[in-house]
Amino acid sequence: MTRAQRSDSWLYGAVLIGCVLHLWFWMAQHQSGSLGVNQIAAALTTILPYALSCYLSVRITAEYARGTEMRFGWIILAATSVLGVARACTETDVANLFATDFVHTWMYGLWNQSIILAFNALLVVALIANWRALAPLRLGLGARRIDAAAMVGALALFAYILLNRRYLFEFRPDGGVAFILQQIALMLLLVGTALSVFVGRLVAQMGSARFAVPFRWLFAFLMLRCTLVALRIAAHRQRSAEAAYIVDMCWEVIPWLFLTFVASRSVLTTQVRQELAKFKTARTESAETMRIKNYG
Amino acid sequence: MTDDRDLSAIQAEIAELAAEFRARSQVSKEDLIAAFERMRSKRIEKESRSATAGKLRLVRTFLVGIWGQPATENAIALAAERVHAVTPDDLCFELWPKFLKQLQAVVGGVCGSAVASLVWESGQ
Repeated sequence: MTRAQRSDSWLYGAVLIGCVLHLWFWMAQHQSGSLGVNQIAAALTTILPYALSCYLSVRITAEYARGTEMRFGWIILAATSVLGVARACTETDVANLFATDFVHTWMYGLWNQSIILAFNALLVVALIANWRALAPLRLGLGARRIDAAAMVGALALFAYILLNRRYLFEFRPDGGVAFILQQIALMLLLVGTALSVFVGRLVAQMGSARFAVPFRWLFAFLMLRCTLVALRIAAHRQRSAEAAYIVDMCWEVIPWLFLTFVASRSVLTTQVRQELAKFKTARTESAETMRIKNYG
Repeated sequence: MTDDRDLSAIQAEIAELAAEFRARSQVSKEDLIAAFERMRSKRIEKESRSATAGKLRLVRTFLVGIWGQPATENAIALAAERVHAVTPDDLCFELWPKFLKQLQAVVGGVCGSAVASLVWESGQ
């Protein structure tokens, strides 16, 4: 096992453990009604992935020179993580301690939809920035059958969500601004998913190369989000509490998927830095050997 | 170091020159100097190309591991274009530092400074 593979295993192992622990606390908080350790732990593990993503995104941003598209993209992704933290803060049971029954007010719908809209809009901007940054590599968009299938899948999800959006929680035509915001947020989610298919296509040409890995996770993150919106609609349509519970549980995985995307990019930098140090050491040693050989 | 293959190439070049001079009725000192100068610059160019080809191979190996073959080839071709080399094979000693700087800029824009530094180091 190479050093790069070892750090990858560590990363995925840590994210998996974090995700499993979060799901454990999340399920436990649903079983016990009152505020306790489980609620606090669930709240913390809800905020943690986006908070870590924000920190790592800022570190990755420093990797790029000012004015580059990728730098802009990572600044936007850091801002997206901040919005993720903001949303996670208000969705936890602990937040209810500070603003009792906020979740049941009309303000919550407005707040939630504004955050979702901004989150989706920033993701779209970040994807466009990534796409533009990859342009000098001239990878083209030679779509294969599998990409066409992914596009058809995304379009099918798109059609299903649009036709059945009345089953979504916030869908109330009399809901005013929150309702309008939800419609725009949905559109942006679908645009983001479609864009991720394009970026995924560009990155697919890199094969199993290390730079392609984070973008695959980003693609998985966006596709899963879109799929879960559709599944939530299906669960509400059938009025199945069990199905809704499972979909809600799957939603809890989403922030961890985002963290995997950001962390896998961050790990690439660490690996390259280690290679660079190794390379410099080897060169110094080789120069020293040559010097001894020539001058004794 | 000159290996057997290089030696036979030099011998062939000298033989060619000798044949050219034999064909002429008169050979001046200037003709001889110009002919040897031509031969020397041809050899320097050849050696510089083989040295840059070796460096390019190392840079290519690093980049393929990072972002795959097609992206690597396109980035190298783009950097070569920017220093007015028709293909990466046309790179010689004089163009190499400029080429490396351009490649570093392309890599830095997509992969960040760490990968760009690795490219710079491997190309030195």
